[in-house]
Amino acid sequence: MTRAAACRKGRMKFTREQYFRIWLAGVEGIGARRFAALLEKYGSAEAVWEDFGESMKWIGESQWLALSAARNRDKAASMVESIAKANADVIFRDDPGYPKMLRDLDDSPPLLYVKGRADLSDEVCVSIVGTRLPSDYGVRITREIAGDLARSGAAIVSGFARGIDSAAHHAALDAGGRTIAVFACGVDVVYPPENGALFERLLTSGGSIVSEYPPGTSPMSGRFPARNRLISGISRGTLVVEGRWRSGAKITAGCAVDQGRDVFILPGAVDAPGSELPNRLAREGARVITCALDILDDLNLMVLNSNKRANKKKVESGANVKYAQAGDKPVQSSADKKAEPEGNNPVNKTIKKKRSAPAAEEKTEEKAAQIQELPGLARQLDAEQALVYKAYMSGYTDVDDLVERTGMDAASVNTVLTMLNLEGIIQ
Amino acid sequence: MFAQVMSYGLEGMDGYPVTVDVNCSGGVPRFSLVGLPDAAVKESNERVRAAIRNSGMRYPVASVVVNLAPANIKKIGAMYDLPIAVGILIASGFIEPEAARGILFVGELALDGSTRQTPGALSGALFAREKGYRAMILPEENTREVQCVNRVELLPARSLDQVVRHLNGEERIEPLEAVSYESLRSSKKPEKDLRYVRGQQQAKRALEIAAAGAHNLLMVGPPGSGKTMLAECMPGILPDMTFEEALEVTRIYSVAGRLASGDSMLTERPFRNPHHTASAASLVGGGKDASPGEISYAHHGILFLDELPEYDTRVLEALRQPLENGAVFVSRVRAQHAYPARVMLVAAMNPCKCGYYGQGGGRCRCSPQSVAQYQGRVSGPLLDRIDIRVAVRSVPVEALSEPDPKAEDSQTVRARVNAARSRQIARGASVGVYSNAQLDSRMLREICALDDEPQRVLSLATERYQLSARSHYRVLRVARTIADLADEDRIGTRHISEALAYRLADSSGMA
Repeated sequence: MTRAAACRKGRMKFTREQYFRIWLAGVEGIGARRFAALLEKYGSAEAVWEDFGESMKWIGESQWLALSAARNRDKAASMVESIAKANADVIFRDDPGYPKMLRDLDDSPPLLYVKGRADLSDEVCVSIVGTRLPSDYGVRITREIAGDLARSGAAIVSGFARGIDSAAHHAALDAGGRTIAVFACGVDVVYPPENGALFERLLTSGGSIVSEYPPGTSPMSGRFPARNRLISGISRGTLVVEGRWRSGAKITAGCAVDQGRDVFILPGAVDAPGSELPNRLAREGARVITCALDILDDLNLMVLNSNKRANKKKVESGANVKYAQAGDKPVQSSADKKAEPEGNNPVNKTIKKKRSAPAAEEKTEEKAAQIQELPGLARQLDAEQALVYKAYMSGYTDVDDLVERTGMDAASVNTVLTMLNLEGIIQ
Repeated sequence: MFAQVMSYGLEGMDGYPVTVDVNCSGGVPRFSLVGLPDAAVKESNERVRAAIRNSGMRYPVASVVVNLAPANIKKIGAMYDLPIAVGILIASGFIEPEAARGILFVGELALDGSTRQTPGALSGALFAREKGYRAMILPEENTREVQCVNRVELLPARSLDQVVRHLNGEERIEPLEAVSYESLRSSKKPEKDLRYVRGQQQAKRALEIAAAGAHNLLMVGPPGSGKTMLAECMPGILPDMTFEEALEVTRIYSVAGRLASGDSMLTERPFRNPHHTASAASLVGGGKDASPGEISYAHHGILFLDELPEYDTRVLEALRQPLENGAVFVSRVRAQHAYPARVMLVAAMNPCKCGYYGQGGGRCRCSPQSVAQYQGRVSGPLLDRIDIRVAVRSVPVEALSEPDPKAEDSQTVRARVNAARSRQIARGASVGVYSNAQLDSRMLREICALDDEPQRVLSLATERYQLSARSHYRVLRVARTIADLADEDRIGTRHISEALAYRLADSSGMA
């Protein structure tokens, strides 16, 4: 089959050079760096195909053999064909849809395979990563933060794994926001398999699935660390929620540091196993955050157009919220900003107060006030519910703990907890 | 001379008639036993011969042929000694044939002619009553086991000699006077009292609900958190056994020969805790004679499986069907029997292999895979059959020894459980339903009809947590029990939402 025929068959039309780039990038063992080196030496991917010979052995013996084996018209054609078959798109490094933050890296992939929305030029991406076996707390706060970030317009990037990753994707979609899942396998391979529903949901709600591996590639442990560099690379900052010290989340955090991106951590109870990674990262200098606005604040992104009584609800509604990067486009001039002491920024002030420590009660009241404002919640909390809610928000360990602190019996606590849970007030 | 004596055999729990035919005729003296006897039955020849001689009577010098009819069913055990001996004595003219008519005989004989305890006497007594026998003669050692059976004359015999004299009208055996079941009940205090369990409000509440409705219960918690202790407190708060229940339980133990000679009817609900190395046959029943397993010995009581994931997966899966049906059907080459197995499953497990997953202090050193694998050993379908799941937290050891001044004692809890169970019996006894756990889907629709608001909550939860149909019904049953404990006729929102809390306890310890 000729190249032109292959192109006609596919959904996309590739130029001759793009065709060869897809071929070259798909060769096992040719990573981002070798790809760049080859292109620099021979000028184009097509030239690599044409000039292939003994002289190319400098790329390494095994890679040379792989290249030699892959240099076959049928194989190249089927590689391109598989993209169409998987209903995927390809974004090349110089396409406008290529993630901006990723392009700056010295090992950015020459091309990305995408399923779903093929435009990855999102203004702000924040990645959220963490353990596959999260605690209640981890999932709850991940949902809250991912939802708030998504509502304020940020794309949530994560790795599609069980636990925190899935919670982040789901929360972004629940909030009607945008999310990007970076796969360590082909974009048409659902892994872990139980996330089939999330896979479909992501594709139908404007999300994107990205991978640097050709469609059909199966998940292998060796590919996950490389994938993690993309998660952090696409994003301005990476939030680590929960994890063990030796974990994938730690690798992602390490990549973010190498790439000069911000690492945020959600603090956890010091005696919880899932707090090991975030709390140690915090000691090593990661930024401790407690809510979505902390992240936006640290990334020099400010919520604009909000009125004086800016609060979390404003972020949730997100209708008028836009970003501006400080010093980027002078919506608020830097001079103004300097003139205004940090503490006077109404946004910062409210939010910081909200999470600041000993004000647990104050926080609860504030939150309770918000609950009553939330739409869809028909009734206010009754006395028992308020009591349990208050105790729950100031730290939930188990039912017995709530029984002790509220003085109610176990039956009532269980009853109220279920109701709060069903009403979506707690998670 | 020919003689015929009635006895019975056991098919699972139930008796079936066995006719013992004896024929003595002239010829070379010999003894021949036909009718599929097993080894123990065949050896009765020697016991019967010695027992007759040692009772001061003459063993016939004749060709003796004994047939156990129906001849195509295997006869097991030494229970036919007495009927065979009586048959031979009738055939050789020591007893009038008329005297033994309409009487059911059972019993093993010692060589000196005295009677010995026989398994399954209770089933025999019920069989005799059902079939309208005039009387039943049984070993004296079985007396206490059958003393609650009325409307049939039960004659406990000490020896073969006594039986012969009774039949010949020389000295009558006094028939047993039926004892009321209530008088057997002891009011002894339970060994383990909930008063000695400190804190654990959540777990105690779960125990109470489980006991009231006979619901299956799973406790998850770290080692030393008192799961086993809590389980051992369960018998102390279980509702009183009704006479019908006690009869069924005693029959199982009687058939299996597990009653000691002095044992009367069982009045306490059984508590069985087989070790986790138990085989499927020992748990659900089997073996070459298709004998009952632990799940049947725990009938109307508790089957406690400690360290649930440590059990062989296939063994656990074998429990699924009996848990659903309340009965086991054991088929073997030689026999196929149905045994009742309506148990309350109480299970305990650690959250992971090292036991500390989800606990403070970073003590758990299990990898996520190993945690998932450990919890995965208990299959979804089995978990689905457990109505109440509860996380048990660890409690300092020293706190366990002294009673908690605020804690209720088992007696108080048991009173509430009894009241709740009485409501259930009043509601369902006419259709043979003694606890909410037994309610089938049709009865649930009748008994557990929901008002609008509770229905809304349940539908919301079903949708949100994607409950299976089975889960849905189980939530309803538990809610019914909670309402019974609160002495209310309609299930309210409170009851539904509390029941849901035990169904959805995954977040507090179970991944």
